[in-house]
Amino acid sequence: MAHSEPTELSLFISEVETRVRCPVPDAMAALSELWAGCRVPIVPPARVATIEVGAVEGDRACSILLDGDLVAVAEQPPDVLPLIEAAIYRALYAQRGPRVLLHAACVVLPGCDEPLVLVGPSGAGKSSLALAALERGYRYFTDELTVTDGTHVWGVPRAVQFEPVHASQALPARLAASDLGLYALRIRGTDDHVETLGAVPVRVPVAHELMLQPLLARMARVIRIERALTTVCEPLDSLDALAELHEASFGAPSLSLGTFVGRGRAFRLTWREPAEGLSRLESLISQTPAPSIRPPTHEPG
Amino acid sequence: MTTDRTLEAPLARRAKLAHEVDETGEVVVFDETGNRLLMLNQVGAAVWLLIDGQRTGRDIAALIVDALPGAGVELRRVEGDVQAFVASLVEHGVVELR
Repeated sequence: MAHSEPTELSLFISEVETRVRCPVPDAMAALSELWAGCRVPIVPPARVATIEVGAVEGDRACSILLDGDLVAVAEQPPDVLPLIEAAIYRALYAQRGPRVLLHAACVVLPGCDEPLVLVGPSGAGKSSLALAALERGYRYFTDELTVTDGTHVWGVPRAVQFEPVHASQALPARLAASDLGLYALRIRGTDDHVETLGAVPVRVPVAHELMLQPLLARMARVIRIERALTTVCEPLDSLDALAELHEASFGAPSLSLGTFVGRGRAFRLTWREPAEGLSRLESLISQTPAPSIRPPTHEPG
Repeated sequence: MTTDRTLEAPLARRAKLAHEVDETGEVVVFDETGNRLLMLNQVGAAVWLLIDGQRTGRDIAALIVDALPGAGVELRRVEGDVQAFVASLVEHGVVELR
């Protein structure tokens, strides 16, 4: 494994300032580009995590340490980047405090501060819809990790990434323009057979596309997404929307998510083609009242 | 009898998380044991929010009547509604009688 003098990089992953020090130039170059959106903080950092990559047994392997603890060993060069990223997520999940991490994409409607929180199982199309949203002028919080304190919502703006593809598998046309060179992945099989997958297509959002300040959860809309043979968009009631947010949270939520739901603020979208799905969603949203920035006052009755 | 205890015993929440929906005044309680969400309407939400580990069902009924001056709401009727509602929450395991 080719090593050089270690270089350092600071990334702001929600409230965790993550300092990475690594002697593998290719891994650091890719890390810097994939996580370019995390070079400035969206919310004030609450703690610092350090990730140190060091040589083990000469140049045959690299240790990955998180805050001084060994968390992984990279045996081959292509393993370094994904293992650094695994440590980044580990540091984020360890962050305590009244926060809910959602496995959800979050993009912001053009021309207004209304975040759309896209929830759904793996493969439902969070990244595909996030990519299509960028191409329609939305601003980007995340395609994967949405964070909330119950009042505000923000994201972890890593590059838009897709599932690894086998080398023989053709990319869908909509991903053809994505940069294939940033990420190469190796998976070690159960019998030690190493299977090399194709590159993970990525799209690194540029500066003007990034949403770099938290938005009010009260202005959000929750969209439950699913791939289907037809495109349908319909309202979703508050209870179902809350159930989806529960399903999307890492661990049971620790705080109220009631600010995310309300009349006309949740939808179910089944989509066949992402641009068509977003058009249908935009049309339905335009027919519903905009969320209110002020909480309503309730008369007893 | 269950009816008397429901109105006379201090009430405490067992569920740790409730989502308060600002726009509608509803409350959705997360029953972690049953892994389910229970939606409460506005009156149910008012009862839930008044449960503090010390108030009894009778205390809560009195507070609701006080909040509706001139509405002609009878205390006995409100007590009956609160008793039935609290019994339901106890049955679902999200409230306990102390």
